Amino acid sequence: MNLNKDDTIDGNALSDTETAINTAEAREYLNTHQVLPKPKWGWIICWVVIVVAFPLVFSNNKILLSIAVFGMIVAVGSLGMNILTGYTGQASLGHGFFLGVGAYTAAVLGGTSSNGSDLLGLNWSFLLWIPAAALVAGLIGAIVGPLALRLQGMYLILATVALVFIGLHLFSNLKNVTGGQGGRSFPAPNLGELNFATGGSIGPFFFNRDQLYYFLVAIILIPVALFVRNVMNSRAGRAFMAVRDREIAAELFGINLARTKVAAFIFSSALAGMTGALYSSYLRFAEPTLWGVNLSLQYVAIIIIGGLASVSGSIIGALLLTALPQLVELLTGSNPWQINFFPFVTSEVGARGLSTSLFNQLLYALFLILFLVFEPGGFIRIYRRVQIKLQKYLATNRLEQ
Amino acid sequence: MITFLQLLISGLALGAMYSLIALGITIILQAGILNFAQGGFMLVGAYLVSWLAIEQGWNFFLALIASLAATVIFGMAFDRFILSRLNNQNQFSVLMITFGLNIICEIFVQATVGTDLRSNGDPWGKAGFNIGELRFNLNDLLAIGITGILLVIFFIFFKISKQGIAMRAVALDFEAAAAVGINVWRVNSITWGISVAVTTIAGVFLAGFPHSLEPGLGNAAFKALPALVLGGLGSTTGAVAGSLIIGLTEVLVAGYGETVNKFIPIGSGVQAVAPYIVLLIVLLVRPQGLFGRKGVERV
Repeated sequence: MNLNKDDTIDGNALSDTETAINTAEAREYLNTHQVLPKPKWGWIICWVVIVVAFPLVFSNNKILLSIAVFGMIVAVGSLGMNILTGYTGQASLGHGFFLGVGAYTAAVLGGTSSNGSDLLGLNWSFLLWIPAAALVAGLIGAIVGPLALRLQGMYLILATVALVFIGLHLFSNLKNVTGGQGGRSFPAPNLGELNFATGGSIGPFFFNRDQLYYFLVAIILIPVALFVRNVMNSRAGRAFMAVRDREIAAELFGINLARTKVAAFIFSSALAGMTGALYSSYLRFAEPTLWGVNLSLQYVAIIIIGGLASVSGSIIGALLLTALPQLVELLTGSNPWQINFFPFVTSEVGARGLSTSLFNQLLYALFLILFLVFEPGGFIRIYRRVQIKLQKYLATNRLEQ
Repeated sequence: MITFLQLLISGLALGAMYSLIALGITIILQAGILNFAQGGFMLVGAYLVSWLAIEQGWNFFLALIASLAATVIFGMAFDRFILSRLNNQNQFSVLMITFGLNIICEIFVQATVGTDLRSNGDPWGKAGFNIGELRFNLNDLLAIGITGILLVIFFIFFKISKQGIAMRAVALDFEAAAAVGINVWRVNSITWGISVAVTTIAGVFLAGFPHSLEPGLGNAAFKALPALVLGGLGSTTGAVAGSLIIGLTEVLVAGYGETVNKFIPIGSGVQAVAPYIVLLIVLLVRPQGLFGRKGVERV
């Protein structure tokens, strides 16, 4: 692959372009000197088969399916976080607030208001409330974004922390929207006869709740991931990265700093809003305290552990950290042999000592610190290093033969 | 009027406690690190005092000294073995590491002691005296007094002592300080030691009457952040002034919030967010704060 790239920079190839007047010649030139790698159809088909087959094979495995669904939902938000922090370099701890905004937009637009309760609910279709959640969160991002223009580094982090605390206050006081301290339930998507809350059949096939959510989320995540990847390979994406690497130089190149930063903010918070809507819907019920600083920190942990400024890193990080709680459950006694691999963790509820949920948070924080100290490039960098080592090893073996 | 004066006293006391935390953060901030783990250190320190004094039956002051020693060593070790490894990395990584440590401290306390409310183990408890209708709690007065004494010591230490001058030199330019023969690692360790010690003292006072010790205490360190920005990030005078304002704001809002709520719907529990609203306003109107210099960037 590297060899191909070198070919295109070759001096001969450049002079070829000038003489390629004939369109047929030009097309032939483009075909032989492609800069962008050709799509590898074999891999793409492989992945499509895996993604589609997964929920069908594990149709009754609730744990695996819920990890996949939550992981993919969180991946959408991590992509948003990565746009802001990984690509544009604007460190923020305000993601939890935007998730909450998205969730409550969804709740108000899609929820039902039963008699006797003050909860607002307009009972719209999910085809409206999912985009609306992104839209409202994006709008609020557009209001907050200009604030970010004046602030850098620490100041921005402090401002976003303040935003989260103010958001928590709003969420716990707007009782009509959020249900106050008691929390509220969130709507499930509904498509004609098909109810996502209970599962249903499409044609002759029956799908349960988790499978339906799985396909819905996959249909959202894949275009979002491709979109982010393509944007980051474009002029706009390079502008984001230029702002991250050196603001003054970026401005000198003619990049509009204000517009780029606000765009990153809007983009990021819109994705967070969408995640909030999907997450709360799959969770069914949530209290206002959920959308706090710790939630924001989880997204930071995800993109650092997965890999900053990397689309696949965000997705891998989201899946890994969503699988972590289940893995802990499995290793602390919920396995077929009933063995607790971590004797210092108690799985009893309400007991003093390191409960599984605390152990979970502990692992989160530990992983965050370990990755920052030893591998700031995240999981994706480890993967690349292993890949390169493997390639070198194979290449030397081939030479020896 | 009596209510107002009463609120004024407790506001000043709260501000004094915040200013100890804010001062601790400021010292480390001058070395270029915004420490989110300050709350975690405070929590561990205060719980250690309480555990030694109540469960182990130690004298309170002995417990305090032992706890100070333990947390100071903890803070120095954190700086030496973790933070100094990534000296040349960006601000964001360092900040997130301290945030991670904060969570680990909270979990440690919850796992070992539990989430129940408990006493901080101080011998004065709810002692105090009345002047007219005004009530003076000993805890509040001690907090104000000790903060005042510590502040004076600090200013003398920073302006006059050799160590203090070395600390300022390291804050100004790490490499130049190393070049003129200052042992920067030792100076950094001392910085962390002082910062953590001050914070532990603040934690003990914060858990005194009328409050009690609980795992949520660590959040008080978050309230020192608005105080820092209000005073100007990196300015010691600013940290103290900002903390007093934030402490007063919080207590006054708590006292008059219900009355205001009848006219303007601000919701209940506004005192918890009032500091952050102040923070946002300051960042929008005057990002350098009250005492900060314009254009100073510790990014």
